[in-house]
Amino acid sequence: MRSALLVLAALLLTAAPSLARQEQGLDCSQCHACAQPSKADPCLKQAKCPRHVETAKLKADEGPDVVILDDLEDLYVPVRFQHRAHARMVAMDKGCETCHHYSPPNSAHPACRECHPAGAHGESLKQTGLKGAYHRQCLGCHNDWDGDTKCANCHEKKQGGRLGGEATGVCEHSNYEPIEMKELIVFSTSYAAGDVVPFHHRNHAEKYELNCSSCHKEQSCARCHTHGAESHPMGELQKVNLHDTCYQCHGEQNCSECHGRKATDLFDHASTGWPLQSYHSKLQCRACHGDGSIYVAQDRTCSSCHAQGWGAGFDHAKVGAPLDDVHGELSCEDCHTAGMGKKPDCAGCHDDGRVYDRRRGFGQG
Amino acid sequence: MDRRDFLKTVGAVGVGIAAADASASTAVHAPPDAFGVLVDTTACIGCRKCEWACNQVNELPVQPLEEFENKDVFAAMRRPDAGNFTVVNQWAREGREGNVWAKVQCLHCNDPACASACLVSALEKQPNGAVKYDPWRCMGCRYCMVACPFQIPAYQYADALSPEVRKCTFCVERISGGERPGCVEICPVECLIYGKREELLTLAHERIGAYPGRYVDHVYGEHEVGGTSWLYIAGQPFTSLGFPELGEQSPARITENIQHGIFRRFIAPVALYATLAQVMWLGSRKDEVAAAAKGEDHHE
Repeated sequence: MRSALLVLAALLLTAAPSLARQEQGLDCSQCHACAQPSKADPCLKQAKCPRHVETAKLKADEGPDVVILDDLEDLYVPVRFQHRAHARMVAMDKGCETCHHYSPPNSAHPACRECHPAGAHGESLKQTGLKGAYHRQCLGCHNDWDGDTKCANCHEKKQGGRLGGEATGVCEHSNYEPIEMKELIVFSTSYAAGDVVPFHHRNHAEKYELNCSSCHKEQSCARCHTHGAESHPMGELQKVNLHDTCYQCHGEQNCSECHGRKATDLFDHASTGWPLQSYHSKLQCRACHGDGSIYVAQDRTCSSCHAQGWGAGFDHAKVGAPLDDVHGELSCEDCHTAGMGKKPDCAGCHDDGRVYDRRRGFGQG
Repeated sequence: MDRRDFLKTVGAVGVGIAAADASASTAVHAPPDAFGVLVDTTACIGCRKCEWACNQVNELPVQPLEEFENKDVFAAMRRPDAGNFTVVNQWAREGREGNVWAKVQCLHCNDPACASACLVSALEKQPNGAVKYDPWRCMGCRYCMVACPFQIPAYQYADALSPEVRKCTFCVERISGGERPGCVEICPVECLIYGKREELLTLAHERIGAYPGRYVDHVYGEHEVGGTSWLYIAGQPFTSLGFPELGEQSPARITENIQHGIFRRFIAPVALYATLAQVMWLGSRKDEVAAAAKGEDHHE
């Protein structure tokens, strides 16, 4: 009985990876040429194997901050690789998979060394060694970025054959100037009925929950951060498929929604009769208008948004008026005699003719 | 028959024989155990470490590594010379801004035109794939330099006493000892892959099949000039990387077919002497006819 159990356990153990793959809807023959692949002889078919299997979706900040690459200490000291900084950068490209190009099922972005054997050149012609894998990942982008392939850019040479040594931290881009976001980009198009498309870039970025990678996809660092260039070639970014990018939110509605004869000014919310001030000006459009792509007029009474929040959990500070100890004891109606959301009536308690001033707060007269 | 007709006849016979022979001997196969190198130009970063390693291994004028970090040399296209068996050239990348690089060296043809042109067999294709040069046999005619479709062999013009033809040796001593060639060993991105030529061809086609967006469907050296031991894959047409557009037939086959065809089974000398005999016979007959005519004149 015991031996039968052992056999069963062994079978389960060997079957575990294949079961995991089958759960993902992968057919064994898609990657393996033979019927019984083993770890010693996986008989992998490179041509058909799906290399970009996404098995885990991690955020940049969930990965390690710094990784010390010290597997191949020979002539050079280990590399201090700024993993988090790079993870944030590749968000504009393909995300983690820009470098972690293959993750076996149920393994979240393995380190290079888990697949690539240490040393130069792999165990077979098909396999790149760890040294080649590291260099390809780093230099593939760095070379595009500044055309500089000096070894010491990432790891300094050991002095006099000294073993070990401190990892060099030269792979840091802290000295890099950030790219300034443009306020307005005016596109000239060939559309006769409206050849000008004004794009209020900052407004889009700040008001519509967009981040850079919402529009700028699969772009290498070098696209914007061209080392030594006089100015950032942002013009290159216009090569993104603009229609498809805009349609992500705007839908294929009428052309005149974007195309016009001249660059129009940024939409002024005050023109609706509801100037955005203070707390409201910091909100994203969606916070009041919901997810609709067309922003329709809202009910202007405060309670249309705030009704659910007036209760015990309501943070009065959110409307710009943090309550002090004395006023915190009062009930809402004691001051808001004209209705919730209307200005408080100070005269109910104070007989010195004071009115509430948000900037000065309570107790200032 | 006048001189022009004679030359036409001889030429036609020769070309006819050559053409009949050509189809029989164009297929060239690499030696069964030939090694090769697959160059994946899409991974090359133009670091020039291969140039540095080559100079070290072959005891060429070795400059410090810093000299090879100078990218100004990419301003002009370079060719290998007697002091640099391999050079890396930079080309504009197609489709995306940036550059691509391609290493140039002897491709070690399966059917080398240099060896065919060599009168003294100083250049010979080895079973391991290398086209090996023997300076003791070389007499310095430099026909190999004219014959090479890639213009690779270079001559030590500066050496007045014992000049040699110089080119990539395929690090023949290293590969005989089971090591990789110097350039392959040092390549930091492993865009140079050393192995059996047949396996490299399979690998090249697998890569092209797996990443059709990354590569053009062409393995340079698979068929060019009868195949070469060094193979290249690239992301753009090879003409844009400075590679010559060449047919599938080795120049050696063309010249050797004509020459060997003409002299096959002693046909050309026989044809030549037969033609000459006919010319002599025609000449003597002309004289006889003339003499006879003269005799008749006498009688009148």
